[in-house]
Amino acid sequence: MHSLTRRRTRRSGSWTVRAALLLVLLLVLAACSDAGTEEPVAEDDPSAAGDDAASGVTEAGDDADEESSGDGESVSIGLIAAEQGNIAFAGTGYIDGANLAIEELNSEGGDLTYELRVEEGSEVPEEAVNAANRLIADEVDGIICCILSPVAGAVKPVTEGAEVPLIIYGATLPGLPAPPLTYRSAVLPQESNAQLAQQIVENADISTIAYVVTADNEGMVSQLEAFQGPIEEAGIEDLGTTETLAADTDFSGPADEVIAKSPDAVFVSSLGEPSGGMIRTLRERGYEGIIVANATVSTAPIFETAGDALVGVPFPVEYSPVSDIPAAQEFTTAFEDAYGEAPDTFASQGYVAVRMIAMGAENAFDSAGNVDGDSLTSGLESIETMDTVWGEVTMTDGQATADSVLFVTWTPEGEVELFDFSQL
Amino acid sequence: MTLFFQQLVNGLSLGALYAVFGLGFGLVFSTMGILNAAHGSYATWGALIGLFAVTNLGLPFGVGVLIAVVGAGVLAVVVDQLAFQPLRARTNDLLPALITSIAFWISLSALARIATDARVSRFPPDSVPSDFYRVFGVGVTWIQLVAVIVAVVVTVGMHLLLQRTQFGAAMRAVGYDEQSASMSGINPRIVILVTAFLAGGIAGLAGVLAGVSTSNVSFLLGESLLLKGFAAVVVGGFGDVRGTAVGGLLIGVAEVLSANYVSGSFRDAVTFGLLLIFLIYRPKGIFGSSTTFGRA
Repeated sequence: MHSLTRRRTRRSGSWTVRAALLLVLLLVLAACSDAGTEEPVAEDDPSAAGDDAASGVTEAGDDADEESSGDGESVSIGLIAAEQGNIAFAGTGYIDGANLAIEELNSEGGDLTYELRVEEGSEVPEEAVNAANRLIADEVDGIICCILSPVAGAVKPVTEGAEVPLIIYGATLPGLPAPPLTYRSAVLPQESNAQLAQQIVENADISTIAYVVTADNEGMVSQLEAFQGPIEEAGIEDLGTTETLAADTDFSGPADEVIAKSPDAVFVSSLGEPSGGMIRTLRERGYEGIIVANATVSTAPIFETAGDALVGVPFPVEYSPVSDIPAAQEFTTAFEDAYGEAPDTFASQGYVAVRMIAMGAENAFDSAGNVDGDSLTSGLESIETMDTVWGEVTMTDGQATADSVLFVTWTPEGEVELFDFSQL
Repeated sequence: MTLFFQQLVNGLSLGALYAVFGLGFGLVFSTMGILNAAHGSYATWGALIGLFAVTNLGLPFGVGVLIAVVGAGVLAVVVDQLAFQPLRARTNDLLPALITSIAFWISLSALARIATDARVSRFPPDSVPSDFYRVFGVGVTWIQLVAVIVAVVVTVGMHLLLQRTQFGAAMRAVGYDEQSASMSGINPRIVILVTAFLAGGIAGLAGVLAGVSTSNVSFLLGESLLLKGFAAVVVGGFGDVRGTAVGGLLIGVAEVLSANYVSGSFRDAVTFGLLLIFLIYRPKGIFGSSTTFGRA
């Protein structure tokens, strides 16, 4: 028991003080990391914008006036970011696309200059609401937000109460747009999913199908229902839906539940990481049938974690670097020049959202001579069509719709290519 | 029927993770009387340290696991000395230590978020075997087998340590009554330091196993283990490693079977409903004693 013989030691008071100081330091670090950090980014340095976007939140406000070519009125756009948290795989793309749009708008000159004020919301409803309140207090002219439907549902009453226009650039739950204050610049993926389902029906020789859905996300449930429509009409047997949760990381049970049904095809309607995890687990556990996914698997971080399991899995996007739409090609080139990597569909959504607010601001300035809450609202309401990187987009009751949709898949090299349905 | 056994195997491997995590969590409580909310962070940081060792330093996976275990153990010792040691001289109440542990949980989680840039990573596919085996129609992956084996080894090792070694007797003595143990010649501080290291190391091991089995290493990794590990300790009984292991396995099986046969959306409700039942009808757990529960 020698090594365990008790020896009296006098506890030093300074030790306790050091411990307390270290605890305070740790808590301050934690507080700083949770705050909506904003780093000034020079508008004329796109590479800095790219670097900062990769490491944190960017703010373009302070230097915006230096970039403008005239003495134009300044339009302040608030963006509730998701560079942290579970949706960061998409959030950074949104910010990069938005920053690029701001850069281009200010370099184009004109009567208006634009600044982007970014607040971190992490796609958590409470944090997003706080971010919205901060932006409203900063008197931004309009706000861009929300990748997740629950977050959009939380932010919308706040912005409508403050009568600040809100552009939803990602959340997919139908019913969110409510002109004249709330719009969705992103095309609803439900229509894309339905078109993808139609392609599967026409090209794949399947008689049974099973589904996987993130049951605690209304947007994913809605996307699933849209996919199911053409499948049911074609008389393909539905073997049932396996439910997962957004926070799930272990998919062995759900995957085996699906595999036990022996479906010819599986459609996965989940958020990015869960989709990648589910598809990877299906393949690891021996499923060899057709797997179809939604657009949440379209980002490079998802391919990095899911790996080769995503190769040959078709999914719909409104934008891809392989798009032959001229505006899309210009966007791709500009993004690659700015950030050194190809944009994804989420970057295109951030880009289009800013462009939409800019169009509304220009309409407001042309009709009222200034841009404020009322005039911007009217300016947005007057938008009927937009030429975007997705082709022509039509605004109907605050919702953007587009005819073009791309069906793509990942290659083993980690690039996106158009999907060849004849290989099914 | 094959599906039932398949899900049983999945549940046992998932429960093995909960069991391994719960063993460390329970060890801290039974020896030091602390409900450590920061225990999940040891699993997170263990996984991150292991990932760094394999991905950035290019070390073999086994070496990475060792470094992860040691790193998480050291972290646990540091937290114990900073958070709990100053409180020991002042009070034996649970609440101050619990509050302090929450503060460290928040801090360590935030630091992990910064370190990972809030992104999800995975151990390189070629660093870990990905073999898939089929036995009588039931499939099991290499990591699932490893998780169960590790759970058995750690449980047996902990049981032998606590019941058959001098140091284990010292740990139990300190857990029962620190002052009396001190009077009988045991140095409680050394016992506590070693216990903290062991508990943290085991949590780090659980973190690595969880990260590999899910191919998902993020700053949130430990949080999902914390609740389930706590439930494993409650169901199994405070102060008994066998109970914690059984509790963890039970929770894993309940979770997977309820997701398959009831609803994936309600599986957590089923799992924690099971916990509630034990709290109401058998609060000392499967193997717990009244004495240990009285301390709780």
